[in-house]
Amino acid sequence: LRLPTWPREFRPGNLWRARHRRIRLTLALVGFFYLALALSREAEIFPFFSWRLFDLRAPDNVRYSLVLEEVRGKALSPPRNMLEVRGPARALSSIDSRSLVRKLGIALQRKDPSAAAHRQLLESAFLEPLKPIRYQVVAEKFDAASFLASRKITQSETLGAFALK
Amino acid sequence: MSTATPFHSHRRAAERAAVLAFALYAVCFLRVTQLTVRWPEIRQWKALKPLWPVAWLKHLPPGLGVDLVFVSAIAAGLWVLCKPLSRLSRVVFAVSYLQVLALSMSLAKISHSDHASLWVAILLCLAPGGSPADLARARFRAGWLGAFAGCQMMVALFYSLAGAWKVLAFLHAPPGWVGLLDYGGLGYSIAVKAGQTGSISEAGRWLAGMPLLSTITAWVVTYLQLFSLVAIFRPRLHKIWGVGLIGFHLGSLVGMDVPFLQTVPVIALLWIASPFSPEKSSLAGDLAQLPVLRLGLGGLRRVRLALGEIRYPEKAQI
Repeated sequence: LRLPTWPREFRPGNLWRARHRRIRLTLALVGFFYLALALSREAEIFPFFSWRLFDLRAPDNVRYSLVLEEVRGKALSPPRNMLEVRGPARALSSIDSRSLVRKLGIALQRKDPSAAAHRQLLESAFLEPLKPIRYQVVAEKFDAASFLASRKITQSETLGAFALK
Repeated sequence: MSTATPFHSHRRAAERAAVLAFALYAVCFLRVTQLTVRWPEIRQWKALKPLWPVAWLKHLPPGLGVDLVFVSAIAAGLWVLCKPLSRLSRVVFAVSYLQVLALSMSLAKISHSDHASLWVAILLCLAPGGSPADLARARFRAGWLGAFAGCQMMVALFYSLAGAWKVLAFLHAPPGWVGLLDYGGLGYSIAVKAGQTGSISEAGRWLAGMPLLSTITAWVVTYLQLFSLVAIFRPRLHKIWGVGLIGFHLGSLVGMDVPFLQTVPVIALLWIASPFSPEKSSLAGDLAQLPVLRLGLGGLRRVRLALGEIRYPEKAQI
């Protein structure tokens, strides 16, 4: 005599485990959602992110960059912006370099002591192959509405001048 | 119209999920090998401020910790490619992948194009460990399909968050600020990017000069992003959504020079090759599942039923 029984995958024990798995997964996703919302762009904790990308643009736009006066011992006349140079200094246009320069520029503007650490990292990662080098850190304002047509920088402020021998 | 069910063929779907997991690990390992090119450069970084997963590097001699991170990531990557069904290999790889990505991002910028593959590697650890013979067990299959669905949901959540912020910005933008969904907002965003990077592509310049087209593009992209989490629960939309999201990433690469290239193969494997999407479907039927459109069609049907234009389906006589 064979008694009717549950198919294996639908036995109560297995169903309970499946439900547990679903609860764990849902909790993990909800937890991630709250964490992502709680973290702003400035306080990003890798690998959590709020995914706030390109949603809003400020009316006044500032970029931080380096103005190179001398590269590998050769004076540049007139001094050139790091975003415009070619050749060995082209790596300065990379996203990592731009991000470091931005951090350095903001720290210099705020007279934050972290500026020294940012500068050391920038020099070891990007400027070491270009030494001896002289450069200025500048904050440049531009009007986005007219930038594509004119490519004009409306205001430029020098935040510091440095040299790496 | 036949209704697609997620588990239309449990066994086949689970086998496919396991094969796709192998392909996802291959994508992750490709990223590790790409980063390996930067190994000598990263060894030279001084005053490194490591992200928390590699904070222990500060306690080791310079260079040694970097070597350890790279060697362990390569070894773990090869191990997981050889034994993707072993849970231990997946956990070890997820930890070492987190470390190598954190190390590469410790210089300055956190690259968001790696988040999808990293979270997939983390969530695949939830799938049960075993051997190919275990795919005959329903519980093992359910575990793999659950973990794979979790990966899909997590990546969909990323896009839905990105879309939600854009809608919020459109509704509550401070005076003077320009949201992406505002008229010409995408063109303005392209111009800001051009100002920050000092360069712009021809496609970007062209799109920025067409405010109506760029605004429509921004709304379509936001629709795709916002409803990703809804689309993931409608298996008939997986392929359409995957194609749409990859198109969005390629478009943002050409127009704005925003490279999310690591995410593209992950989307292809999670969405286009989804084990849950039905094998047979019609494009018209699939499109009828689109978020908002399905709601509208459902509402229209109810109105027609109420007006007597169509009849309720007759109940089966028992």
